Amino acid sequence: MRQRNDAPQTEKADMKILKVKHIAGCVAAAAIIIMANGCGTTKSVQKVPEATAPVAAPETVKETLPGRLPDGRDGFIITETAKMSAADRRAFQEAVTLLNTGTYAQAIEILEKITANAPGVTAPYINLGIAYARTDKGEAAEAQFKKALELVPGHPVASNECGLLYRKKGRFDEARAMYEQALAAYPNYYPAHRNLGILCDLYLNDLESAMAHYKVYTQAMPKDDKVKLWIADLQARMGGK
Amino acid sequence: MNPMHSTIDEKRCSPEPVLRLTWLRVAAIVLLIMVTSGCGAMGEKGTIGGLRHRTIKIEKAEIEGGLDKAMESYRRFLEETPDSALSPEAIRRLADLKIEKEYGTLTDGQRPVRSATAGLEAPNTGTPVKTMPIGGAEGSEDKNRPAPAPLKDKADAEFEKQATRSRPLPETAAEPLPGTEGGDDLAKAGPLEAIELYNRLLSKYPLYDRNDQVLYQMSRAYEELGRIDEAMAVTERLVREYPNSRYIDEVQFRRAEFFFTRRKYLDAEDAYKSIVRIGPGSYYYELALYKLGWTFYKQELYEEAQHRFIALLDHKVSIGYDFDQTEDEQERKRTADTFRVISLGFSNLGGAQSVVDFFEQNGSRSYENNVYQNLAEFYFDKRRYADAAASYTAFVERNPFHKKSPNFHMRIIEIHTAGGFPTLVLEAKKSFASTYGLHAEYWRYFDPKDRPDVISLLKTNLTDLANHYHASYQKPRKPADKPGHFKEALHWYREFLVSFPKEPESPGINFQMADLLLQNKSYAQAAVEYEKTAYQYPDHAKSSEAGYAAVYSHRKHLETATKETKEAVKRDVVRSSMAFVEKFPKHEKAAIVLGAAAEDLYTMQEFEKALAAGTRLIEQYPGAEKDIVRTAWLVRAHSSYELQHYGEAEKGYAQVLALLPAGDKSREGLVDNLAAAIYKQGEEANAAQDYQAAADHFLRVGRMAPTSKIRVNAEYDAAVALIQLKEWKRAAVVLTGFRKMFPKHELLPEVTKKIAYVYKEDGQLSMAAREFERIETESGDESIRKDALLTAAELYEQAKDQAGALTVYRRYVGYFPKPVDVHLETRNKIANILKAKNDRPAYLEELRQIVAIDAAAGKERTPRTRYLAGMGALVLAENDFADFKAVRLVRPVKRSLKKKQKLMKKNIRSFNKLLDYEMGEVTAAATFYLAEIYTHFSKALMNSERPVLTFDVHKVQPGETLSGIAKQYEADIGRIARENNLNKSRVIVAGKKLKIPRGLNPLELEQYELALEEQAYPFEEKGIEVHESNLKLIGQGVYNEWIDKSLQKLAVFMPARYAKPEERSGIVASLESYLYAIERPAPPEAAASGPGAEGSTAAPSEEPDGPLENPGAANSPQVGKAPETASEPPSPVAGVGQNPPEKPKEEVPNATAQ
Repeated sequence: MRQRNDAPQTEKADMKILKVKHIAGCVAAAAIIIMANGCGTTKSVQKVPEATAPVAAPETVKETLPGRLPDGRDGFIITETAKMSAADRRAFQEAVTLLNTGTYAQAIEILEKITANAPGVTAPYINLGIAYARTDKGEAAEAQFKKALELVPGHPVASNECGLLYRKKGRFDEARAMYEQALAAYPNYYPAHRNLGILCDLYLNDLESAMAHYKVYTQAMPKDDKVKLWIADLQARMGGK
Repeated sequence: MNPMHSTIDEKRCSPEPVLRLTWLRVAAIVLLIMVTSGCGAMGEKGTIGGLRHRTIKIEKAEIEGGLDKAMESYRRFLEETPDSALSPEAIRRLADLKIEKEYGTLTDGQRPVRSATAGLEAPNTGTPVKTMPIGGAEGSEDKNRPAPAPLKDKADAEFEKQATRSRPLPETAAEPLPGTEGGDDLAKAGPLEAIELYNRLLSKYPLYDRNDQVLYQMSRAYEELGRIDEAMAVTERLVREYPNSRYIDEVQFRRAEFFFTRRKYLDAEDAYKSIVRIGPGSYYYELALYKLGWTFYKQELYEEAQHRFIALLDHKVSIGYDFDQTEDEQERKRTADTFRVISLGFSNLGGAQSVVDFFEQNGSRSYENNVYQNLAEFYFDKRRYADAAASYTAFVERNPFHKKSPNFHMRIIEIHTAGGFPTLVLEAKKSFASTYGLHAEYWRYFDPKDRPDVISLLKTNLTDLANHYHASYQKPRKPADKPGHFKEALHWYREFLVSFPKEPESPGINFQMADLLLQNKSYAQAAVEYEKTAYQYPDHAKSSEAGYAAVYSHRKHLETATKETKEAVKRDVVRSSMAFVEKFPKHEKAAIVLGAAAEDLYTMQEFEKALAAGTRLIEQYPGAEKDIVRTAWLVRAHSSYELQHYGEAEKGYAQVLALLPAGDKSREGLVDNLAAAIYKQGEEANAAQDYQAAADHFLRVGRMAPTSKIRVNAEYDAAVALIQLKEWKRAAVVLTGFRKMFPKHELLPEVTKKIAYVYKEDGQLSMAAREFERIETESGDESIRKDALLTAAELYEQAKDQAGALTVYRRYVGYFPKPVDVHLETRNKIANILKAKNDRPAYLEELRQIVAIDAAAGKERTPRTRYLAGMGALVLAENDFADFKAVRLVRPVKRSLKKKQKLMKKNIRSFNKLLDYEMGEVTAAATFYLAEIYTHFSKALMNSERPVLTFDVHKVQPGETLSGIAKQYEADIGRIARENNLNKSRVIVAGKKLKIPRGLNPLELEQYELALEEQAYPFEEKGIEVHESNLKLIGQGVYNEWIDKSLQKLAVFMPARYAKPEERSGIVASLESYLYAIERPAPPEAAASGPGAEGSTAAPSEEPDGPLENPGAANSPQVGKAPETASEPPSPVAGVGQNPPEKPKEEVPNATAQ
């Protein structure tokens, strides 16, 4: 069998510090992410966009720990005070279970009630959006994600899921903005780097950006060999850059 | 009464004048005179005639024997006394006493009171003189006198005879005196002795100063004795010897009478004249004048006679006599006699003109009117009417402003009437009315208040004239006279009313005038006059009748009114009618008048007033005739309708209908009116958006007036209202009812539309669809037909009646090839239905039609038609593509390859043609399929049946299996089965001979494979290239499923470049917190940390959604199976709170291929 020309030519690509383009209008506060070369810690200086957060429900208090978790892991935590009845809490858990088993219609029914009862809580909106997206109800899904993002701007899950949704619909620029919004708030949310990289790679023909995000991603996920292949292929296509 | 006067007992009503000269001496004798008849005492100037009515008795009781004693005294004196100065006196007295004793005549120097003549009495002894019935103070009692009996000429002769005849002297006066009956000589002894005594005295004492008295007494004595000639001789001597005697006038008068009686007129004339000469101082003056007149008259010297009579009247006037006095009957009669003889005279002189001439020549007199009047009446008595009228006329003409003239004028009319001269009567009446109408000049000299008689006459005349002409108008001798009569009658009625506007008779006259005008068809004027009669006078008997007649006249006027005046006249009708009803509400015609007025008000569009009038009639005249009440209700209903009081109008029409006789022709129209009133209520409710009420009203039309014309609209509008209310079922009932009731109505198409709509809204889609089909058949409007068919088809579709929809769509495309876009859209729907039905040939045929029609549409081509055609063409191409794919390269490969290549060319051509549509979706699809053609062909080559060179024959042994045999020959089991036509069970029977293909040897085969690969590879490369070109469409803003599909294909062919699944975040399991953490190569200082370090937080983990398509299977024939994920399990973990983390999944392109 012949080898496809998309096979990686080099196993390791040089990692460079990239400056991630900020897409004006997506996120109010620009985030400059400084990637450390190779392995190790992501050194990131992050401005938390609290000041520009859309009006959140009073009971929601967003708290982010930039960069690194207290236990030293790479990540972050978002916490909020969810004012919700016990019944709704139980219902929420029931919905989570249903979603995990792919029982979307029932889950949607429950979550709609919960969002009606407790409109100030973020998680139910996100899950509802995901449920709609998976049942191919794009518009409903988008609406739910937007509500979640009003409560927690740049919420990585909402942004990422919404970015996926936009990409499937061919709304590539919106998808890009959505990912970048997530990364502005949570630069070390790596699925967004991966997804933004793919978007730039396959759909937007922005190979440089694709390269940058793949690299950030692969630094955080060194075991993901496929991405390394992608980087190699990309480098080849970019003329060995 | 003067007791000294002697009296004469006369017989009343004697046909002849009585002249009785009785000589009585009354010295020292008191006579008691008892008046037993007559009327008053005779005065100093009394006449003999004036005594005729008196009966005087001389009572002798107390003086019996007195005369004798006196005579005895005188006799003794003469006998005893020598002749002396007293002797003649004694003789005379003795003689007088002797006479007195015999005849009782008073003398003694007293003025003798005797009847001088019988002539004055004459006129009254005959037929009484008629007085003119001309009214006035003195004539008033004569009004009722019997009609005058005409006198014949002999009556005049009689008058003349009586008026002029004197009583014969003694020889004819045979009547014995009282106490002398028996006629013994002794009775005459006294007078004879007296005569003897007188003669003795005269002869013995010729110079006795009272000899004139002696002669006078002696003549009397002769006269008493009937020795007239001797008496006359004595008077002759007295006249001659004593012309200045105080007895001269009486004596002359006696003489004159004597001569007159004996027709010795010249002697009589002289005698009378001598008295006249004495003048009014003479007691006999008037009598003499009178008789002198007669004397001339007898000699036919009428002119002379008239002068004497007039002189007598002048004298009367001069002494203050009033001709109109009535107290002294005797005097009046005497005057009347005078006038009568004057009349006779003028009659003889030529009638009225002679009177005129007379007075012109001799000066006018204040009493001329009496002269004319008497002459006129004289003629009238003789039935000489023309002369009578001429007499009056002569006076009136000359004295128009004389007080009596109106009376005379009226008398003229009477005379003409009596004479039977209607024309003259009429002329006279007109003349009268003109002359004495209240505006005539006459009244400048008189105050009407002072002449009630004239006013009364005027009224009578005016009334007569008006009546006459009115009657003539009604029954003219000649039709041509009618206008003239009308004019005259009207004139005199007006004259009356102008002169007497407020008299008790005025309303009646006015009424008659109005009648006249009405009869003459002068309706407007008649109406005015009737109204005046009805309303401008105090209430009278005919007030209400006039009021009604006014209305009637106005109405007649209306009938003849011109177009221009009609409106005004109608207003008059109404005004008059309302006034009539107001003033005479109890008149029997009040209700009908009011009803008619109400009708008129309605036609005049005075709806408020018409309504009020109608209502009034209904309330005020409930017992009126049914027709009238019905009319009132009708006016009320119509007016209410016009005033938009539709509820009231409805009530009114219902009443009218209830009162209408069965079978009345107007019923139909009234039912329509009723319906309209109800209908309008519906409209009002509609306007107020009270659709429930509107529907109720409209439906009520059907119940209350099912036969009305407007019912159609009402039913329709009811349905519309029900539709507004969304009462679909009720609306459907009404509308379908409409269709049954009015199967040919022009609104039917609209109804059908509504039914269709109602069914549709009610969810009865199939029924709605059928209605829309019906709309198409009922309409001539192409656009409506089109819409209807499309709607019907859509409804069938909604009702899941695909057959119905298909039929209707096909009908549409059959009817309407244009416009192309709709036509193609419809064909597209047909195609969709066919596709759903799995009627593939028909489906494809429909698509071919779409493509062909679009291609031929020219300028009518639109983006949409292009799209439909493009999509259709795509399906057709896909169909060809399936055919192409179905061709397997089997032995003989050459043949099948040729077939496949042919199809491939066709396919490439087809898909390339799709690019002409220049539609992103179609282009992407075409590109995708072109790529697929190449990759498929490449794969087909690789999978083509390998060449077979020889066959072994193997006889199946019991217990052998096919796989065992294949293994034994190292042959492919499938090929063995195929070569031997084994069925799927691949059962083999012992003893059967199998053909065992013997392939190439390994070396040959390898060479064959290499050669094959060389052939196939460029097609695959080409396919990949085309897929990649599809991705370039993204850069042109095109992204769709075909591009995604190409991407998925490429992910298989070039996974390192294209198999790049995205990563999902996954479900959020916690309400309070979201934790994202990854394990990553820890820097030396943080090596201790790891995933799941936080016990309470589940470490996030990520898993792929599913396995990626095995890169090694990229060339496998498993085309069409979608790979689900293309990522390897990632190491990061993502977890949420205490909840178990969901496995994140990667999004991968949905790589499905057909």
